[in-house]
Amino acid sequence: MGRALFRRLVWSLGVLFGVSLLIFVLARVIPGDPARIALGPMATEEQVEALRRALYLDRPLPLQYVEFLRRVVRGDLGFSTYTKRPVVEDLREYLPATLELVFVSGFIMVALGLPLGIVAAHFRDRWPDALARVLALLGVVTPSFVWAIFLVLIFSYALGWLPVMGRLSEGLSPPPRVTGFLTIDAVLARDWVVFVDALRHLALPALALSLSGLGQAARLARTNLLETFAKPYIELARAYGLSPFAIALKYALRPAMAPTLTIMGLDFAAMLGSAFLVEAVFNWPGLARYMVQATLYKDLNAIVGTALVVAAFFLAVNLLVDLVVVWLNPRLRIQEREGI
Amino acid sequence: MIAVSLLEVKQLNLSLRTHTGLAHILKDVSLRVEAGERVALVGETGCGKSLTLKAILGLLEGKGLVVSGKVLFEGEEILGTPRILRLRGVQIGFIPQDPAASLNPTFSIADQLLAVVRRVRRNLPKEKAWALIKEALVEVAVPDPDRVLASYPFQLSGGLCQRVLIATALVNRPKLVLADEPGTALDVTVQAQTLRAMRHLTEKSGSSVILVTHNLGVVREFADRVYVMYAGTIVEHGPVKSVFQTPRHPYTRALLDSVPRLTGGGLPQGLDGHIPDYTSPPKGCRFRPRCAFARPECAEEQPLRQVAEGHEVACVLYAEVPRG
Repeated sequence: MGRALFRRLVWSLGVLFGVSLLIFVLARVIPGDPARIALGPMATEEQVEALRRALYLDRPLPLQYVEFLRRVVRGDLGFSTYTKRPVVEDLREYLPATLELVFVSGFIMVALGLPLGIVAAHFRDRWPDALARVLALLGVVTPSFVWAIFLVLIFSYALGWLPVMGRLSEGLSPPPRVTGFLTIDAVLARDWVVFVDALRHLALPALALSLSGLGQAARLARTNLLETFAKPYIELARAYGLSPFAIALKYALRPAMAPTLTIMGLDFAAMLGSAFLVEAVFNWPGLARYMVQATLYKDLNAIVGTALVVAAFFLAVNLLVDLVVVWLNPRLRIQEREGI
Repeated sequence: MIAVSLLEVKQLNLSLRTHTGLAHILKDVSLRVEAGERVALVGETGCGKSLTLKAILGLLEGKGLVVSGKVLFEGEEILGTPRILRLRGVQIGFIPQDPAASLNPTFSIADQLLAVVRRVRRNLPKEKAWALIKEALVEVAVPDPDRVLASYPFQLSGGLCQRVLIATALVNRPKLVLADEPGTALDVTVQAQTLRAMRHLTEKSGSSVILVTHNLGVVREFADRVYVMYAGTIVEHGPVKSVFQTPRHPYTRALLDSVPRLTGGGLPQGLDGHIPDYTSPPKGCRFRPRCAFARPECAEEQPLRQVAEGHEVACVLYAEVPRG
């Protein structure tokens, strides 16, 4: 297991390296002088030249990249020409907001999507199945920002149940920053008012973001479960008199889970991408706004830094899913152990 | 007091809704198994042997099948009643056809055996339960039971999987074991070992067995009584000796003639044609279209008629002494 994990880690680092090179080059071929954009039309030529030097833009591209790599290994992503702060500091501020949103969405996807699929498979071709399938399909085919707008219209404007924007209501002060996740920090500070308020703010964007993955999870769980239900070992489990609950939730679920999880992992990782649009609708102070501003201002370090973080998240999620799948599937587990 | 049979199947009928119409698969299947008795159900592929077993276990509900008739276990109706749920795995063991596909690939052998043990002994301490399933594997001559228990099905050979399944069926000492062609998927030597292990164990525990097979050699070696099935009907049944020595039904004779002999006498005789379309089976005797001795009266329903002690046949030729 250890060796396989190591191999995958090395592979992930390689992918990350490739992504960094690609983004690094792409960001630099967009027309426009980053230094001029950053300083504005009133800046003198000397000031622009100084900033270009500070950004290493006066050197050949390969040298710029080598310099970039040297800084990255020290954990330095350079400074942002838009916020005038180190990119690492910006990420520390905006990334937790987005991650909190994505994690809650992922939780909703698993907590509602899987049971929906299980219910559908259990009541195959009866009304609960039909209902679940329609819901799942609606979730899959509707883009998350459309859901975001619908949800805001219904739950915020029409019913007035939930807040429309931001992470916290005005007048509440955020808890001392530990993780950057408002909910976790609130729990750590025993500040239940803030905790509930943060959850209320999370509800709509997280739901909007989760629905497409949720629908996909339900559909996959249903399909894979039905396929498993038809296997001889499930009929045998019935012949042994094992309870229908144990059969559905244990003996059929585990073999059906591995293919479902692989796709769910991809959907979860893709949420970070969809989050950009949902964040725009809910005015969520996350990575999306930062990334959009960075691109508009041709803020090179911010663009590359954000892209690296997104890629790293994607790779980490996939690695985790692979590990869970191996754990669920004894055949793979034994292969890993024997180093095949 | 009249002695009650362990299992009695009365007039079991089974139809399946298909897109070409209602398929009448089982027609008036009646059979009976006494305590400690080994009964074989023999016939060619597709004649409804496995379906009969699954109907007894109540495994066919909710699959578009219409089942009617009576299935009595120790005199009590179990067909379509919740009683069968309590009997499965406890009083009635089941051995499936395809050993490799019948074990769950994501659970260890121990997990799967323990699940069945826990049907009866819910609170048995872990060590005792482990000792019990280990003993169950030793009984079916599994070498290195600890290794097998810790294994997953795909790490074991087909023969080992089959033994595990036999051990699982017998671990709760059921009164009745339903065996659906065990070992058919395996090579002949392993199949023979499998049957020997089954015979030995059921003798020891006094369990009754219904063995489904298309192998007449197996019937002769294993069973006390035999039911010959053709196209969803019982055409002949009786003690193995009587049926093998004086087969009355042309289908039984054809089956016996199709067995190759070591003592010469030329090639075995095959039987032309195949099982009829179940959506419109022939009226009366279902074997009529393939029968060399068919007469006009075969189009009428043929009841089972006694021809010898416990030996009955559903054929107009019942009175005729067979050739040979």
